[in-house]
Amino acid sequence: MLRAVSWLVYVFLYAPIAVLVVFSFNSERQTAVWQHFTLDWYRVLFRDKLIGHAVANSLVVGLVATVVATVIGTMAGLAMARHVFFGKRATRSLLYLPVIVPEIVVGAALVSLFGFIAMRLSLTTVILAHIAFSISYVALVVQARLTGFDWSLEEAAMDLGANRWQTFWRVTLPLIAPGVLAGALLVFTLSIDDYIITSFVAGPGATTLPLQIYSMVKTGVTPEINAVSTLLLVVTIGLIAAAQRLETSRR
Amino acid sequence: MRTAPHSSSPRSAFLLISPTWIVLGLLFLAPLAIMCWLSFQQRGLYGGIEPGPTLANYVRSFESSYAVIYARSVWIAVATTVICLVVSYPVAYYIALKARPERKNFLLALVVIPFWTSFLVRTYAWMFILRDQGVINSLLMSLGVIHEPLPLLYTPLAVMIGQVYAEVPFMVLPIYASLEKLDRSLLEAARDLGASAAAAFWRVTAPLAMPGTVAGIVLVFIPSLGTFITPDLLGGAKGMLVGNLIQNQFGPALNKPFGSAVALVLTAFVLASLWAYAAWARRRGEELAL
Amino acid sequence: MNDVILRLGAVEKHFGATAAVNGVTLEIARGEFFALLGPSGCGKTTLLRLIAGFEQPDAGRVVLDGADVAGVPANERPVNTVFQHYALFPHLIVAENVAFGLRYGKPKIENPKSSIEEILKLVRMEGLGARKPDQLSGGQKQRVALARALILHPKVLLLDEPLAALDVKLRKEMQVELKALQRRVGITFIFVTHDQEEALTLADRVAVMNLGKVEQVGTTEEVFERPRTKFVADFMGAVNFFDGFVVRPEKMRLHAAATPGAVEGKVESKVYQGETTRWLVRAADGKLLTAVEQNDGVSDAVSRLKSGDPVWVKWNKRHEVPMEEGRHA
Repeated sequence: MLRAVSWLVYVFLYAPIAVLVVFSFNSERQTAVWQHFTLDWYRVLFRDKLIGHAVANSLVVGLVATVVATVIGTMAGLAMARHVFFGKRATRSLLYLPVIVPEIVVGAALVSLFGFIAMRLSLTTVILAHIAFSISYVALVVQARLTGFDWSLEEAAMDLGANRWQTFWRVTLPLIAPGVLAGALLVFTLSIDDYIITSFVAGPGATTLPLQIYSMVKTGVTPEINAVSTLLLVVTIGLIAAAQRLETSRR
Repeated sequence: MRTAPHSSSPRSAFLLISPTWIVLGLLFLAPLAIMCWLSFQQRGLYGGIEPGPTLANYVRSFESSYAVIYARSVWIAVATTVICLVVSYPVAYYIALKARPERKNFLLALVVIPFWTSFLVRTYAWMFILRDQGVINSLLMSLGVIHEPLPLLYTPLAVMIGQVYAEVPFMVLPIYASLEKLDRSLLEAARDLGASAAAAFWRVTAPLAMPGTVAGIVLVFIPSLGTFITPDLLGGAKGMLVGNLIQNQFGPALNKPFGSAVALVLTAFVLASLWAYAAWARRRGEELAL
Repeated sequence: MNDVILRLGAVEKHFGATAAVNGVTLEIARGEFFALLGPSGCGKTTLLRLIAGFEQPDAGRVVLDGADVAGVPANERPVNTVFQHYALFPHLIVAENVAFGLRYGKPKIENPKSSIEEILKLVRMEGLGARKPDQLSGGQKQRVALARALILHPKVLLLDEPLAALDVKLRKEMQVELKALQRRVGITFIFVTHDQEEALTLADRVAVMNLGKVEQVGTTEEVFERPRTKFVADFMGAVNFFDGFVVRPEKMRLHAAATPGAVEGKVESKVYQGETTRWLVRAADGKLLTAVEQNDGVSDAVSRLKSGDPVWVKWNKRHEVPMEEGRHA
């Protein structure tokens, strides 16, 4: 009984994804009746300039936001796990805020800020917004990774002659790398998936992939959307699989 | 092993944390502060702003025409949470207590993976399945079961399916974590003392898994409160939600002050829910599972 | 002491309002095996960390081989540490762990590869250089931690509860091994322990610490046989306190019949401990005395005594150890 219910839930979780992928190869355009296998929709996709542009924008935003947020967030995670400092409690609340506050509020607040300082909406504002909501995720993941960290390892490195910087590169970073990587991956997936916040702060020409997909979906279901969705699925699942393998091979 | 170093060097702590203070200060606290200020201003012509200060936006946000919108949002959040709970508990229970140990991680990963995929894509998948020319209707019609497509998309049912689909992993994980920690000998003790399987569940398992269950409820309820994309795509533009309201005021309605007030009301509601949860957990002496 | 390797002068270290180390002055000779002994919270570990450079003193001097090292960070001190839980880098293999400090060490090592092999041989870990730390037993981890520190030829090797993480049998073996190793390399070892037996077995000299201060410094025999303060006497297990002096329990003799010059009492309880039996005797004046008798079969009359039986306790005047006035734990 329990087993059957569980299997039903798994079917519920995966059937839509499977259907989506399968029908991206269906030659029939109007209905969901299988005709025959085709790669036409992928061809259409690769010739679509709007989608190409959106993918490029998403990659730029995702990569820049991930790199910046991972560096800053890792530093914050280290500070929270290792140090006692003035304002630590307040900083903990500050780090939780972006995770707690509804996305729609974050988007509205950011567009209020950009309006207030008369900053023109562009791809830059999208990048800034993504950095803002990403730092916390990295910091929290890294901090979690560091609970139970044996700090005497850092002291051992110093004791053996390494300075703070050498200790960080040779001991601390290699040991927390899986956490940092997990944080970076989470942030990258959140970034290339974000619709709500981006919809508030994207300027003209700064259409990202989710914005593009949303406007396509709004105008109607087409096999091209299946195709682009399939590609997005392959990329995200590929990234997770890679991160998983990295993490297990480290242990 | 020293987990909490007692010698702290304030300088390196400051160097590590100050970028976060600066970025979150400028790109998170400042925007919220500006929105707070905006909420006390008046709407000007063409989306402009007339200096306040006024409470009119807050007064207006509690008018009955908007109360309907809040009620609808709360209703969707409650329904999503309840259905997620019913769907997730058996799965979490199965993985934690019934599945073979070596398969647990795999089964758990299967629950989490969909969460990593784009939520737009997941919502779209349901549009593709439920629409008139979708997979279900096409299949039923080609089998001759029906002659007219069933109205599936743009219904409350479709909205619920989409919502539950998006939130299930957030319910399964904390419940699983709680059940996994459960000492099995307690269940054996309950049976030994004469409890039926059902009684053992209600009197031992469920109370002990309560922290994870409540964490799951919070994790599903809060994002569901602000949801509006899924209802938009799967429910059609029927029935506005808080999210749509805020978006409209910042967009076509050109009334940022009012939109700000509504956004802050929503935030206050979310923070209050979390505060209540934290107080509950603290009273039980539990670690916060969030 | 003519050849002092480490001199501590009135060293103080405070954490908030508490003084972890409260004016410690010590001299440790080159090549010595020295123990810092005391209960937890006595400041011994903080003192070790001050010598290592993980903490800087609030006051006082730390003079290492003639040079004041106060203010010098840990990575620039010619001192190395064996950590309580070894702190082996889990992401590096044994050989990489041992080689870690060679990259930074002041004395350039000519042939790092052969010196790694040499040091691994010294600690009996030859051929295990390619293992990861989590593939090693507790004793092997201990040896790697020693090799990693010794390869840098420190002026002083610090060991923080070096054997606490090992089980009893292994601990006994490692005690012997550690002592032999120290004799061979001739480096000054300073170790921290709360276990008086371990301190006596390993060290040449001991400093007994309490509440951030050194209560007594001396050879192991001095500290054991001639404790100067009540605290040291008590910590060393000399529990028969009298007015102004103390007598160790194994110096007390029991008699089953009245004996001139003996204190009369009743057997309160006895605990059989294998080689010895530990007796608690309630003296006529109500004082509780402890005596430890060898189970050598010499005095059957005593060994047959039961709780409540009358007994006479006697000790030799020369075993009375006078206590210093005004220093109470």
